[in-house]
This record gives sequence, C-alpha cells and structure tokens, in this order.
Amino acid sequence: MSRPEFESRLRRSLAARASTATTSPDAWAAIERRKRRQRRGGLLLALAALAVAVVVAVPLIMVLGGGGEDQMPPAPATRAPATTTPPATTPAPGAGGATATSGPSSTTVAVRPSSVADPGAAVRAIGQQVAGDPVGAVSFTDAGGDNLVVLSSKTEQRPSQLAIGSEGTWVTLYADHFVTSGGRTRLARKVQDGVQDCTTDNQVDFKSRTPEIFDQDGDGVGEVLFGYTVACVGDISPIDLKILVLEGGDKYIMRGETYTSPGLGKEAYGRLPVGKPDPAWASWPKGTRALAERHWDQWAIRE
Amino acid sequence: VHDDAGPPAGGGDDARDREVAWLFRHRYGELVRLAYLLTSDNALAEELVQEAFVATWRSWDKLRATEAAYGYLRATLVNLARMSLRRRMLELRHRIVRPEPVTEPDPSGELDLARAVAALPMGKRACIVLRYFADLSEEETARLLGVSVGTVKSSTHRALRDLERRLGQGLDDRAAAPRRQREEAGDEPT
Repeated sequence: MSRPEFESRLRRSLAARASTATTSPDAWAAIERRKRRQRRGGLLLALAALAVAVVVAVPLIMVLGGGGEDQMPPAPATRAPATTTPPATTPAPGAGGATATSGPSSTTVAVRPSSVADPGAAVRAIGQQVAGDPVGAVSFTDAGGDNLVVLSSKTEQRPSQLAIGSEGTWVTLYADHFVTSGGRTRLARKVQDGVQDCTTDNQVDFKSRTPEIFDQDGDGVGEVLFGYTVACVGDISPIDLKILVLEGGDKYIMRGETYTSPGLGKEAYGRLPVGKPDPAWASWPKGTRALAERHWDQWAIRE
Repeated sequence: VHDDAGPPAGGGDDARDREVAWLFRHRYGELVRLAYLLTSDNALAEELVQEAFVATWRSWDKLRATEAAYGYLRATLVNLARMSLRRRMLELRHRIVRPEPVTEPDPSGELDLARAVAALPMGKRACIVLRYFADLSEEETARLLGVSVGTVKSSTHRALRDLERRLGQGLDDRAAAPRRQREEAGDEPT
C-alpha cells in the first residue's frame, strides 16, 4: 500500500472511530455548573486577597504613620447586628442517610432525606435502572427536585485473562444519582469504579451501604457523601480509598490510601494524612472539606 | 455577533457568554470526537472538553480576537488530554488493568487501524490525530503541541511506521525510498 493510500485509510479509520463518540445532552448544563464554580472560587480568592491586604496593610500603615497611638481618634465602632446563624456541624461518619445538616442559610429550600428500604423498587418506580445489584440507597428532596442516589455493585467471575487456569473476578461499583423534577427524571451523575481480573482478594466495597446527605453550604442543594475502597491485593498492604461528595451533578473526590493498623487501633495514628482532593479544596462546597476529612479519619484505617 | 441563538447563556447578555455558547453549539461535538481519539475514553473526553470550554471562558479577555477562541479551545483541550493521560498512567501503575477485549478482526481494517492509533504513545498519537483527523498542517500541529516542526515530522513518520508494523502491512514509503537506496549504496553524503 502506498503512503497516500495508507494516509487516506488512516483518515477514514479515525473518522469512523471518532463517529462512535457520543455527547451528553446535559453538557451545556455541566459547563454552566463549572463556570458557576469558577465564579465562586474567584470570589473566594478575591475575598482572601482582600483579607490578606487588610491584615498586612493596616499594621504597615500604622507603623509608617508613627505608631498609631497619636493618630486621629478612632471612628465610633460600628457593629453588625448579631446573627443567630448556628454554625455548621459535621455529624459522625456512618450516621446514616436519613440525616441532613444544613449550613447557615435559612432562605433556601431545606434538604430532606429519607431512607429507602428497597433500592431496586425505588429505581423501578422512577422508570430507571442501574447497572449493578443495588446495595443501598437514599432519597432526598432539595432545590433541584426529588433525588435518589443508589449504590450498586456487580461481581463477575470468569477465567482469568492474566493467569491462565485461574478464575478472575471483575468487580464494579456504581453510584447513580437521579433527579426528578417537573415530571422528568434525569441521571445527574454516574460514578463507576472497580477492579478487573482480580486473582487474589478484591477489596472493592462501599464503606457504608447508605450514602449520607448534607447541606453544609446551605444552598438548598443536597450534598451526597459516600466512600469506597478499590484494590486487588493478597496482603494487608495499603489500598486505594476514595471519598466522594456529589452536589447537583458535580463530583468532588478525595483519593488516597488506607493505613494498615496491626491491632493498634486508630488512636495510635493520631490525625491521618488525608487523600488528595480533586478538584482543589477551594472549589468544594463550603463545609464539605471538614466532613470529608472526618470520614477519611474514620475509614482510612485498615485493620 | 452571531444571529443564531446558542444554548441559554448563564451570564444573560454578557458577550463572552454568548460567544462561548455559540462555540459550544457549533464545536462541542467535533471537540469531543477529537478528545475521544486522544484519550479513548468517551466520558473523559466530554469532561475535558467541558473543562476546556470553561478555561476559554475564563481567559476570554486575554484572547487577541474572538476568532482566536476556537484555536485556544482546541489547544487547551489537547493540553488537558495530555495532562490527564499522564495522570492516568501514574494511576494505572498501581492498578491491574483489564486487557483490551479480544474482538474479531474488522474485515475493513478501519477499526483495527484506529485501535492501533489509540495504542500509540501520546506524543505520536497527538501528531497522527491532529494531522489526519483535525487536518492541521505540520506548522499548526507544532504550534499547538509546543514543539518544533521537525519534531512533528519525525513523530508522525515514526508513528506511521509503528502503525504499519502493528498492522503487519507493507507501507510503500516512496518518499523515503530514494534515501534508503542511497544509504544502502554507501553514497550518503556525510
């Protein structure tokens, strides 16, 4: 085959493969969400810069001005009216999906979670399906509508492609977040992870069967928190741990490794180094960082 | 100003939002296909394209002209794809990876060739995809990848040779033939 013929064939092949790519109907909404997050992050940065400027500039001006004591008399102190906003709290991990802790806003829609006894039936009731066998679910109502988050897993065993003559295990975990609003149900976010062809011990499991629901930033949009380990190991070495927070279709994730505790208990470690956030903490909904770190402390010890 | 309405722009009458919305309407699918060829992962491709749109929206004021927006968008996407694949390679070092499913050979050879492209290292793959899918010139590809034209030429040439080897086909590289003959004859100028 000549070079031009080969190049022409290459063009056709690439075009054929590219044509199999699909696009999500919610793509524009996802971009808008990212833009909003950027705006929020930018505002936070500006506020932080302003705070730093005030902290640095005020003493500097006072020093340059000769000490400050003999300056003009201070303006009468003005105090903002006291607010009665309660501080956001972070319930203990494993507190279950039927609790939601709200942040400071009292004008937003309250996030109301409720437990789901039969996840499979709940999924069918909204005319949807999940890829794995449901292991737990939680439903809640927030500003976006009626939400259902289902955790499911699928395990398959078949001859290994890596170790001839052995059985391999394929385990996949799924988290599906459905939102029903205006009579229409859409999949706001799907998370999928797992191991393939594991011939030792698969350590793929949710840390809690029921996702937990919060509204730490008080914006009326529920935050869904869950975690899982994912590994294929034959010993007690550290394994991958991931903690996710989903909010309005956005995904925030901490990735890291567990710590092996040979019977010492978690106290022996003190505060554990937490996983790495993706995206950076500044982009996470307010209050969810502390929440995720607290869960990390709870879940990162591998006994 | 574009007269066809794009998707509803979040910023109301903000020109930047309108332009980005127009780009989305006209270029999103094409960019997802480009990202898919670079990453071989549909979901990741969409994420990267969305990220590139936001980066372009963020940097709008820095663009020399709105006509440059698409070029910026595409360059951002390619960079994001490269970074993402580097990160994924690190992750995969700690993970058992399922081998590519065994599939029947494609009689037309089209998909086999595309799969072989997907198996190329990122640098070569980017050259092939940008040259033969996005139809960029060697100069444009070099500018976009931040390398010299010579690097694009050699990477593309080596990638084509790799593809040829993987597919077990004889590629009659007529352009290179005279050079090889000279080398074999020992009269290559030094």
